[in-house]
Amino acid sequence: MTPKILIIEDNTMVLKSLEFKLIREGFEVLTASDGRQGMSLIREGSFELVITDLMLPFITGLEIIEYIKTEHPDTAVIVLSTSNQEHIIADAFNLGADDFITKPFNPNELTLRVKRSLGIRKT
Amino acid sequence: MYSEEKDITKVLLIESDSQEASRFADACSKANIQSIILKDSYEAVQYLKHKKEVDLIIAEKNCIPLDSSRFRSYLQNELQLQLPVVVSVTAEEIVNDTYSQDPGPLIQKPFEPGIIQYLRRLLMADKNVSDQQIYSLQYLEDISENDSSFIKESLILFLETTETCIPDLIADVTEEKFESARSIAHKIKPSFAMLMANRAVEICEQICHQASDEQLPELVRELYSLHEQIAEKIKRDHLKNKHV
Repeated sequence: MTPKILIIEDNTMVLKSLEFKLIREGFEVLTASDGRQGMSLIREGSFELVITDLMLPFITGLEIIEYIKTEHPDTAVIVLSTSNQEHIIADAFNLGADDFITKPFNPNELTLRVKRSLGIRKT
Repeated sequence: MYSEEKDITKVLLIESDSQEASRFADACSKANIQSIILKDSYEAVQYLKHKKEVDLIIAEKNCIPLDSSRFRSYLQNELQLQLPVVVSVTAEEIVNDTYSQDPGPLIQKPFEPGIIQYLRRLLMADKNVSDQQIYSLQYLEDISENDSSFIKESLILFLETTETCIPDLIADVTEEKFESARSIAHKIKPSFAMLMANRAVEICEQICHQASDEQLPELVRELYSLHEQIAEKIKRDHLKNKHV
């Protein structure tokens, strides 16, 4: 079955690029441009992987990770970050995030990290 | 910011507001710079027809009878003068006019005591920018494997995002909402990074993490000016038939 991925990111350009790249890689992709919309999609469906920004409108990325790790512990989480966010990334890992990708993402690194995160969850 | 600043000895200012003109003249006087203050673009054209030795012109955005954009064209096309023209704008003009027809360096009024230093840096930044590529599609080409419709869509998204966010950023700084301003800079930084607009990325980074509140207005003005140049070039090079 095609793995289903949710991307939550408020920068539309980054969001569309990730969506484009992951669809090309053969994944089923849903997107949300703020934390509230993202949380709503997580509650409605099940995802193998959630890729989320940390600084999001309405509901933060950390709150989303906390919810996922409590309610959907089998869902992998990759955090989208920018430089100088080390302390927030550390918080994300403490909450159970599996990996992180720096924006703007390196296309090869994205594919590698997504596949690795999905592989981790399968084992 | 920049290790080198361009030397300025004589500046022509087109400014209809006498208080702004006076503030500018004071700043020039303190910096040992000769200032020529004229009330409109007609007087400026007449002046420049005969005396061409100014280092820089600052023109009010809506100066009359030729606004700053037409004035610049007139200098280049009719008088054959390649002089740098910096456009002066108020915060309200920036917020209310999301896309200026004036690509090129801009400064925000009211003129402040540090304006000369800022102009020197602006000229040097403008020179640096014109010496380099102002942006590049390389990253978008790499991630999409040269998919032209993806690249075009990304450029439209870039303009839609930044042309909303930059006026908001200016409004926040004007109203001293510095944390909100930092948050906007954080949001748009990846957009500039995806276009490999490195100076803009650097400014966003400074706004987010390094600059003090007092330094933000100058950085935001520089970002605005740089963004105008990038947006104008994107529209000219890639989106000629698109209304953005």
